[in-house]
Order: sequence, then structure tokens, then C-alpha cells
Amino acid sequence: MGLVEFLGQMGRDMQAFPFDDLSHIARYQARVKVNWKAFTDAFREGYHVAMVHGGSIPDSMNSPANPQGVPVSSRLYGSHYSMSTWANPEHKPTPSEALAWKMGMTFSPGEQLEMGGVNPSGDEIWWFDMNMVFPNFYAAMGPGWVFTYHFWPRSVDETDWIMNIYQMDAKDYGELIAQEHTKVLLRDLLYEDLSTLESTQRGMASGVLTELNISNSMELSVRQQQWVVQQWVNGDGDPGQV
Amino acid sequence: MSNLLPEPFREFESLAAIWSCGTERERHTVRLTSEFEQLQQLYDAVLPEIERIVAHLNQFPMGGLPTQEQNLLNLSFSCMEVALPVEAHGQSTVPGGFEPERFMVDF
Ligand SMILES: [Fe+2]
Repeated sequence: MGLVEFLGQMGRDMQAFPFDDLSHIARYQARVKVNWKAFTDAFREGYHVAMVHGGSIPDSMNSPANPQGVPVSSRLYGSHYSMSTWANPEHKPTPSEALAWKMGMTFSPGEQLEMGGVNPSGDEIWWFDMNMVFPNFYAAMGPGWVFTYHFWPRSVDETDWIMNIYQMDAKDYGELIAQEHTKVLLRDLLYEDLSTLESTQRGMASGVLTELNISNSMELSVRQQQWVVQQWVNGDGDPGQV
Repeated sequence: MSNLLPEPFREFESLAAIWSCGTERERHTVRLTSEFEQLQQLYDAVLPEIERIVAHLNQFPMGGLPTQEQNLLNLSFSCMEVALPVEAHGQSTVPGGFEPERFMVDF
């Protein structure tokens, strides 16, 4: 099966994105003592943002109107998954963030460029799409930027993680400095995301809990991964497009 | 000693001596290992001047900055490097974050 066929509808939904107009602006790596599937679970929902990122981005994906940061839409594409996140219309930018948006663009909710290949459900309030390509590749796609994660299992409880960031080519030095804001904001958010994983792994490995509760709707993709992995492990392969 | 920065920005010479690093990894390392007060100093001095800096830099083609202008650009990058710590963290590292020694910045 070729890549295009494997991606199926998810690939078609992102095909119009102007990937060629983006520059590769950053790469980060870490070796984390966590199972690769538990690692990807940390990027399959939006409710952690209010807690894990509450200090860094207190009002980007959540507000009193949407305290859990419930996504605006999600799509099951066979083995793959995509979710469109909600952006708080009342979001208040910090001084550096406002400056970045004035000179160019950054990761936080702001000016929405008209762009194909994103927001496949056409949601009115939309921040960016979180796309999980089975089994170990993630691409977040927003208006003018993409960042990706690769998850490479080393053992049952250790994973190499690589993050790459791409943004629209900077046409002047203001846009270039705004790109630096994008990098630092994303990088510090990942310091927060990575901080929870090893204790999750230790908790599971302790055997104290015999089961974990998974939310029906907010953790739809966590449930999907459990099922999809079983499909593949049992030799049934891709469950097909939904 | 020759000046690090172009003439209109000489007030930032002492900051440039610390913060005008050429790679993201170096800027991040300086941030992680500096006292929070130093981050605050850079932020307070340079952030309000970024647009004046950009107007100066934009006289030159992309990728074609003389050494002093390149230092000025790197200083502005460092200002962005410290912005989130100053605006949100209140410290040089990410509160409760993953260990910086294990987080690799490649560029
Ligand atoms: Fe996160």
C-alpha cells in the first residue's frame, strides 16, 4: 500500500495545504521513559491544556465559556485521527505575542490566513488541526505553520521523540523575529507536555491500578488508538476509512 | 574594543555581549543559566525597541546582514527567547517542566 492510499481521506483533506511555502525553523529531541502509545495519548485531547499549560497559555484554548477546551470537531480516518481545536475568541495576547502578530505570525490564536488543507470540517471558531497518523507520526497544522512529532519506540517503556517546526517563509526581519516567538512558545509548551509522561508510565508500571478510565468523548482518540492497535496486532490491519 | 552593534543601538552593547548568540541552542542555554533578573533586563530594554530594530534591519536584504546588524538580530531573537519566562513563568526555566539537560535543541 502506498502512502497516499494509506493516508486515504486524511491525506486528501490536507492536500491543498501550501507545504512548499514553509521553512523548517526548528528541531527538538528527547528520550523519554514512557511507552510510545502512552506518549501519543498526551497529544490526543485538548483538556490537558487548561491544566498542563495553564501557566503558559492560560486562555488560548479554554475560557469560562469552554473550560475544558472541548474541540470543535474530530474525524476518524480508519487508523488515523484528526481533531480541530477551539480558539478562545476572548484570548488576550501578551506584549511579545502581540508584537509577533504585528510583525508576522506566531503559534497562538490570532489572524487566520485563508488556507486550504486545514479545518476540514469548516468550523467557524478554529485554532489548528491535530492530525495523528498511525502509528507514530503527528502533524499539527495551523494557518501558516506545521509542527510534527515522530515517536520512535526503543523498548516497552522508552521512546525517542523528535519535533520539527515549519512556518511560512519570512519575507523580512520582522517576520523572522516573529518566527522566533513561535519556536520559544512551542518549545516551552513541550517542556510542559513532556513533564507528565514519566510519572504516567511509572504509575501504570506499578500495577496498582488495574484499569484506567478513558473519557468517551474527550478521549475519543485514546480509545481509537487502543482499538486500532489491537486490529493491527491481531492481523486485521487497517480498519478502513470511517 | 570594536562595537558589537550598529551606531543607533549602542545603548544595548552590554546586553549584546551576553545575548547576541548566533544559534537558538546558545540563546536557550544562556537563558536557562542566567538569573531571572537578567532575562527581565533584556526584555525591558529590547522589547519596546524591536520595531525600531526591524526598521533598521529591513534596509538590508534577507540573509545579507553585516556583522553588527547580525548581532542586533541575534539580540532580538534572545529577547523573544526570554519573553515567555518573563511574561508567564516568572523564572528562567519552565516551572515543573521536563529536565533541560535531556531536552535537545538542534538548531
Ligand atoms: Fe500539550
